[in-house]
Amino acid sequence: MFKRLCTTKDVSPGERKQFDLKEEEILVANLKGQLHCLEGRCSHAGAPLAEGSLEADILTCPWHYSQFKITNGSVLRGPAARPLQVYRTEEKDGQLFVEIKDRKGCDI
Amino acid sequence: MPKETVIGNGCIAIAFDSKMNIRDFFFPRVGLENHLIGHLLRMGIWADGSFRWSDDGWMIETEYMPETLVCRCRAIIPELDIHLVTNDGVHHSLDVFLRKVIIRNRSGSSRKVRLFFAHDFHVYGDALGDTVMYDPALHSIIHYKRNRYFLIGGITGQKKGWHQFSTGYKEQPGREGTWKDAEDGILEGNPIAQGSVDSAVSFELDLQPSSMEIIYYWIACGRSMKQVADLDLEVKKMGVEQLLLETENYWAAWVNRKEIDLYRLPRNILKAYKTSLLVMRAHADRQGGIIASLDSDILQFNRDTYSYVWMRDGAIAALAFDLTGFQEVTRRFFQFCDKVITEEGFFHHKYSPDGSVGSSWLAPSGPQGLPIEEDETALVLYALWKHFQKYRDIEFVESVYPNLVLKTTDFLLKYIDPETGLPRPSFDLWEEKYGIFTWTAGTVYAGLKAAAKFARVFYHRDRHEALCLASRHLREAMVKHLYDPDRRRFVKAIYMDGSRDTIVDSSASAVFLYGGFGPREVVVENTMNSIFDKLWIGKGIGGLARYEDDEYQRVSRSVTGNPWFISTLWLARWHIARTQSMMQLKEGLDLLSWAADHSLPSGVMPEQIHPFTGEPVSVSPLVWSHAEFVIAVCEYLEKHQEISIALPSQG
Repeated sequence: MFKRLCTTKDVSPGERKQFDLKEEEILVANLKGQLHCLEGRCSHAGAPLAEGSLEADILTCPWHYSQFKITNGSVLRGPAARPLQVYRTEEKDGQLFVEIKDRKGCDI
Repeated sequence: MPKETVIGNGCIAIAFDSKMNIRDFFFPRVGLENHLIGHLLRMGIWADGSFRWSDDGWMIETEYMPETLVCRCRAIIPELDIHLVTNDGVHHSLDVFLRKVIIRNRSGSSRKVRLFFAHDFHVYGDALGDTVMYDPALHSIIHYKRNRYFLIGGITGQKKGWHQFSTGYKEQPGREGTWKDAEDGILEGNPIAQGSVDSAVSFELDLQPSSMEIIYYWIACGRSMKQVADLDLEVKKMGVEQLLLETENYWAAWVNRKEIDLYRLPRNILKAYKTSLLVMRAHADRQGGIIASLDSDILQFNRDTYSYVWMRDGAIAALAFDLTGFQEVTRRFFQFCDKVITEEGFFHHKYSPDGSVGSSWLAPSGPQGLPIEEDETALVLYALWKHFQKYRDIEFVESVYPNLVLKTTDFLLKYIDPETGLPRPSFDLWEEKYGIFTWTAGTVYAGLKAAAKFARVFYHRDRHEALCLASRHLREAMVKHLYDPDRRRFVKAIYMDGSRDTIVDSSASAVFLYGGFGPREVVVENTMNSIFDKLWIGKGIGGLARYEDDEYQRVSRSVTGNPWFISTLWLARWHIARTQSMMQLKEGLDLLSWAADHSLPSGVMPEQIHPFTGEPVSVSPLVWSHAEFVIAVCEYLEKHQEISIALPSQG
């Protein structure tokens, strides 16, 4: 099920911001106008990724410097081992929607 | 030297200076026993025959890791071609200080490098009768006196213990301490010393070209040898790496309580908001006291510090904690207040964290006046009402109602001058003058209103009516006696000889801060505009001085005073309170940005800063600065929401 997360203008190009949807913390990063949604906490130790640095499409964790590719969540450098979850998104009428699934992969 | 960062867990509190030295080490009560009182737990490095302590040419950047109470220092030692990164934390539930050090050899050759840690403990705050010893079974150094034990342990990433150690004597002719002996890179291995003593340990690393190594170091704190030995075992079993990760996650979870939607905040303000909450939390003792500042370097008067519970500062911190959902912290604070309130119903000047009355410079003044600051009593009552208004925890409030609420209420009522309707004289919030102050009157008004609301909740009808009447009369008396129609603003004070103090003082903001007058009432508009006109540091870096010609820590005659965070944030709160449009709201937001941007690089907010350089002056951090910032942010978000709902198309 797609849920409204924020407006498409809430995150400026080159910026990233965290939003909360139910119990999910979701990072929205704007790469040259394209919005990408990933899990908001580092898969290594739970650091707030919105506080990390974003250079081109590489996101660096602010605690232990793991690096992730923002477009697909893959790990580019440890200590993180698991990729970040990437959310499917849709934009409609200036609003950003993300697909939320439960742990079994079912829509909630 | 102001403190760059503070960390703690409610039992231990530790403050660092900007040179990576630990300067304050409190245990087992936050703010009570300082086992360093400004002396150093320091770090040094030896390589290629040269030695450098961290305050000797290291280039250091200090910060908090985002959203947690673990700090990180990055250091470059150019002469030795070595880079260091440290992570420092106090475990959230174990009484142990944890440090991880990553050492990088930047040179192109293999080297033997030694890292030194020196410990100048003054257990219980003095250097008399201490013992320090090496325990070969634990491979640890232990400092102790009476019921305080500090066990120092360490290990390298390659599981090697330390290389050398020594214990020795200090503060005596010819005996500067083992830290001095360390500067030749060698420690002599003396196993025990007693009296005025210190210790040092070293790790030896064989670093390949452009390689790195890790050192883990800890200080376990306890009341007995067994306690620290058990803790040491726990640290060795779990590992510092794991315990630091636990600490990072605990505080991240703590600060991210989902009470408020923060995403509309600009990044600098959001970061400062979270850092503020964490710094405030580090000042909260597990038994309820909230310390004004852990910075022991500022000797305010006669070798005394800010490490006390001022009820004013505590109440304002409680307002901030309650607004943001941390009711456990505030309940403990109100229980502390319940414990220490006097039979007469007022609070003394300040308290130690164990509830004993703190040192004071407020002289008793005649039969009518008490040596107190009456706003401290009023603000606790006001904060407790705001707490109840948010959480409706009637059972908790009932537990403090008979003592804390009724006694303070009766005191506020009795301490009104029947002739004027104003509070009787007491000392001002700046602790400088004795009289009847606009600030105090504003807070007493809020206290009386809070008491009236409690009386209604508990169905004490007569009390409710008496309190409503008293608060109404007080408001009228403020207009009659404290408002100057010629100057078109509230004055600072009326003194015992009947004279008025007409200087512009930012504390007159109390007239709207605590609900006596609305932010758009003409008397408030005029007062706040005067405050801005007279106190804004336009020639310097901005910010608001606390009053005209403020001499406390004054650094320049070309401006009226140093910018204070609390004064600037009161102005922000007024802009936020009065505004009705997004455009006007920005005036408040800009002042929040000013506060965030003029904090120390770590995010710590001092009391005041230099008007031209922005360097901290006086105490740092100051919990009150952080608390006013948090309150202002919450008020900004609430107003933003209010305006957004009213004007959805512009939201």
